[in-house]
Amino acid sequence: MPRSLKKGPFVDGHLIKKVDAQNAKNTKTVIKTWSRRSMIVPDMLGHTIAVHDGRKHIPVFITEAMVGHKLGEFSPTRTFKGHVKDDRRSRRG
Amino acid sequence: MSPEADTPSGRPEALRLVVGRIGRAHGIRGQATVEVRTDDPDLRFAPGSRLLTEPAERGPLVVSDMRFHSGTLLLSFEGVADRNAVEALRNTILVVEADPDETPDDPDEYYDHQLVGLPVELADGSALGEIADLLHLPGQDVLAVKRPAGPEVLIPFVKQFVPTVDVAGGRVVVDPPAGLLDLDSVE
Repeated sequence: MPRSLKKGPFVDGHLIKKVDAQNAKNTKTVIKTWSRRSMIVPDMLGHTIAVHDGRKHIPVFITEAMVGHKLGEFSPTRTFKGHVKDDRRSRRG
Repeated sequence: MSPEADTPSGRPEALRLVVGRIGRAHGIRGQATVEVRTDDPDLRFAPGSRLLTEPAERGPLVVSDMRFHSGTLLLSFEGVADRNAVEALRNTILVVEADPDETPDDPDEYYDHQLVGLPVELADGSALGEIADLLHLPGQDVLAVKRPAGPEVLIPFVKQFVPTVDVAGGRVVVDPPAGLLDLDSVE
C-alpha cells in the first residue's frame, strides 16, 4: 500500500534540518548522513549528500532525476568493483 | 589493462581489454553464453570481430553470429560448430586489442582505462593525487582518487566537481565542494 499523500515524503528530521540550514545560508557543504531511508526531495537538489553504505560514506550529487527515490538506492551496500582490465566507460554527468 | 609495448614516451601502443568470458553452451549448434564485461557489446562482438583469448592457445576466435536471448549474450564462432566444442572453450576470457587513443562518441564519456592513473589537481593547481579506480554507482560514476598522504577520496564524476578532463594532456581538474576532501570533519 502506498504512503498517504497527506503525509508528504518521509525525510528524517535531522537530515532535512541540515539541508534547510544550508539552503538558508546558500551553501553547498557536503552533508554526511546515515539516513538511507530518507526520500530525496527537491530541497536537496544540487547538494552533495554522503550516504553511509555500512562501511563508509558515498558522496551522492543530487540531481532532478533522483527526486522521489530513497538516498540508500544510490549508495549500494554490496559494491562489486569489477575487474581491472574490463572494457568499461564512465560518463561525466 | 596491459600494454603490449611502450613507446619512448611511455604511452602504451595497444591495450588488451577483457570484453567477456565464455560460459556454458547453449543448444547443440555451437552457441555459447557469454558474460559481458564491456559497455560496447554490439561493437566488440559484431560478426566478423576477431577476439584474442586467455589462454592464448584457445584462440583467436572470430565471431560468426551474435544475439541476445533473455538478456544473455549468445555468440557463435567460426570453426566451433557443436556443443562439445563450446564446452571445451568454457571459462575462456575474450580479449580485444584497443587503440589507447580511441574515445567514445559522446564528449562526456571516457574509457576507464584512459582515466585510471591520471593525476588529479585542484582548481588552484595544487596536486591532489591520482585516479585509482572508477566506481559505477546507480546515481553517477564516482572517481576514487588516491592521495599520497591520507585516505582515498571519492568524488562524484559530474561537471560541477570535475570541470576539466584532459586525457591527451594527462590531467584531471577537480573542484570539490567544501567537506568532500575531509569527510571526517563533516557533521
